[in-house]
Amino acid sequence: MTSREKVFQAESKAKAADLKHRAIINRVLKQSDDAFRKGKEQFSDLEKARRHAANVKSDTIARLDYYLLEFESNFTKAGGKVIWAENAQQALDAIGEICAGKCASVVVKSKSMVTEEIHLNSFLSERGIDVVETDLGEYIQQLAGEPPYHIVAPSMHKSKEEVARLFHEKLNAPPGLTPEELTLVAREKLRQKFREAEVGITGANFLLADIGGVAITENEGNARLTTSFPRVHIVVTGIEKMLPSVKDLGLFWPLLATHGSGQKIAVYNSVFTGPRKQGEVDGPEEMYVILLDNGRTGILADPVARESLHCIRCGACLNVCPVYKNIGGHTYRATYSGPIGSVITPYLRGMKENKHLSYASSLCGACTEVCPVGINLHGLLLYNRRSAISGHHGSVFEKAAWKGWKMVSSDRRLLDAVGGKTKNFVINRLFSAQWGDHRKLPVFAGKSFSRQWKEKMNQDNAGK
Amino acid sequence: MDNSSTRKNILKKIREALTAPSVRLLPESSDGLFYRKDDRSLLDRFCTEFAAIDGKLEVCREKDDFHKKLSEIRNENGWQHLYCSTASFRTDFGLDALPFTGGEVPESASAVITGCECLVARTGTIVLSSAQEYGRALTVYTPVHIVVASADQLVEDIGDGISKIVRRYGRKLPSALFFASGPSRTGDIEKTLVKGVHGPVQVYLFLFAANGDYVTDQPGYQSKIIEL
Ligand code: SF4
Repeated sequence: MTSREKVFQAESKAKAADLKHRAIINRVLKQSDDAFRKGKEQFSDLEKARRHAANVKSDTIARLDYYLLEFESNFTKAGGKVIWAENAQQALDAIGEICAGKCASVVVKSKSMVTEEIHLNSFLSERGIDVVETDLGEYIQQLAGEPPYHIVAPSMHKSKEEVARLFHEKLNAPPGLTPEELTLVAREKLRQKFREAEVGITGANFLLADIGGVAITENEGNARLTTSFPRVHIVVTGIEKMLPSVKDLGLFWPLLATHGSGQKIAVYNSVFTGPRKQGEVDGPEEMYVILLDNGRTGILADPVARESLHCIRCGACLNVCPVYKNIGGHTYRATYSGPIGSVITPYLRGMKENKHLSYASSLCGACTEVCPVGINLHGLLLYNRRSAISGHHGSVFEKAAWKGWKMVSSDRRLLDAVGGKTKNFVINRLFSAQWGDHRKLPVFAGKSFSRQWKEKMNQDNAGK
Repeated sequence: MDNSSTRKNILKKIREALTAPSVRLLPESSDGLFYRKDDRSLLDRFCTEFAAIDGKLEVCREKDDFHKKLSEIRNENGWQHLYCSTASFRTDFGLDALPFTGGEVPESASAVITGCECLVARTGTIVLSSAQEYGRALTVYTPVHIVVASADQLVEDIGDGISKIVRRYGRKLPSALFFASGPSRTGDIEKTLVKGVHGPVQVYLFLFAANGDYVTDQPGYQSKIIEL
């Protein structure tokens, strides 16, 4: 067991027994579920919509180089600048350079998981830049000094009392405020920041090849403000966020809204095609798109795992996952949690150290069933288990044990050579650690079925 | 910042990766019809949807209608500083509103009146673009957004709104397009719905429907094509 796995096991155990955590997560996810049920009603045939979306994504991913170049060419024509980054460091350096060039002291950010992936906030803070999260959930997490708990709802696990306490401690807000009042406090604090900031940083929900556009979905309006006031707009995005055309949004926006938050459509869906144009009254003077690889081409190189690049980060698979519900988002200790996180983290951060995440699943298939772009999530978790073992990341002991099991169980004579007691003893010694404390190992009968059958037949024959 | 070798490396990795064809081929689709049918008129559907997302709608027949309703609402809410970005609204409607012609977004504005690109019936969406006089920030920073539009700006769905914009601007798209559906909202604190987190707390739409003076000649609707 790697040390990461040990930590994961221990933290999972603790979280699963934390009743307060369970109560709040169950309540919140129940609401998500109700909203999702309602949001789904807008589709006449959701299966058809999902199939179409999956087709569009797999076609796009299959020609990713072509679409990236088309995007680059169109975006550049409109006055934007594309920066390619193979890893987190290159992306950070590029952002650092832009911020230094503008002598930026305040940077506003709208919600983006990719910037979490590259740990942008600590990078900028170390350079003396005041970097401010402006999505309410992210703002709460930043005040608390915690990473997001959920890819769509970052502060989902916090009760309103906890948030009120946090605002009281960190922002000097009066104690015991309601969610409405807390929201107002954040609104006032952040409005000032939007005006002060020299640089605004966002993620992207979709890249649009045909118009060189970046589509951003949100409900609060913070992404719109982040892209309106500062003189520079930087988009940080994974290369897989591509769609061939702006016209694909007619399906992908409602799909994302329904699966992300149970809405028909999110409040603000924006498309940015470049910096402010001549004749426009406002907007940034410069716009950059950083196209990040950071392990994604590794996923692409595996023809089976490739489909995990279809992901539109809606969070639906987290919401329905029994494991996520029990152990919570932080226990994964990965930027992307839940089923999709368990699938891609081993590719992004190393199979050996993260292969245990492939087992963080009951294989119930709820994730696969809900995914709007048809990713075979639980199938991929199984696939990763196999890859981890055949890639020699399994333990020597485990491999030897299974080898022994295979040899004995496929040979009737060997299997019947000893009685049930001995079998139970051996199996217990070999597998009880992996089987875990919470389920019983199957028990061998004193005599095998084959033995009993033979004996019965003999008796019957003798009786005739 | 010379980025060419990084670019080359990534493209090379992608091309090498893609030499292995994808395993899981999905069946081909589709006729592109994904949403539940609704036989009511565009106007009726827009009204229902817009109300469902907490938009406030006033359907107007005449200029006088608009004047009367607007001043009622204005008095009710006690808006001190009403801004309007569309010059022709101010002259044609004789609006008592301050002009916005770019530059700093006024901190003191209590409400702002603008036109829009089009309206989406299926989702109750107001489509805005940075090419119009109101630009990017004004309509999201001001606490109340009031839109004046006419019924012939209605389109069926999001995709039709996109097509309309693409037809109007061609390859010279505005630098930003906004599909705004109701007031700003958040559910980030225990999923409690709170309106007006960063964007407007209230969104009003004055919609001129049939018989009005401004049905086909709606001032806010005059396109302003930006030349590169
Ligand atoms: S894997 Fe599917 S369900 Fe999970 S976040 Fe991605 S798109 Fe949503």
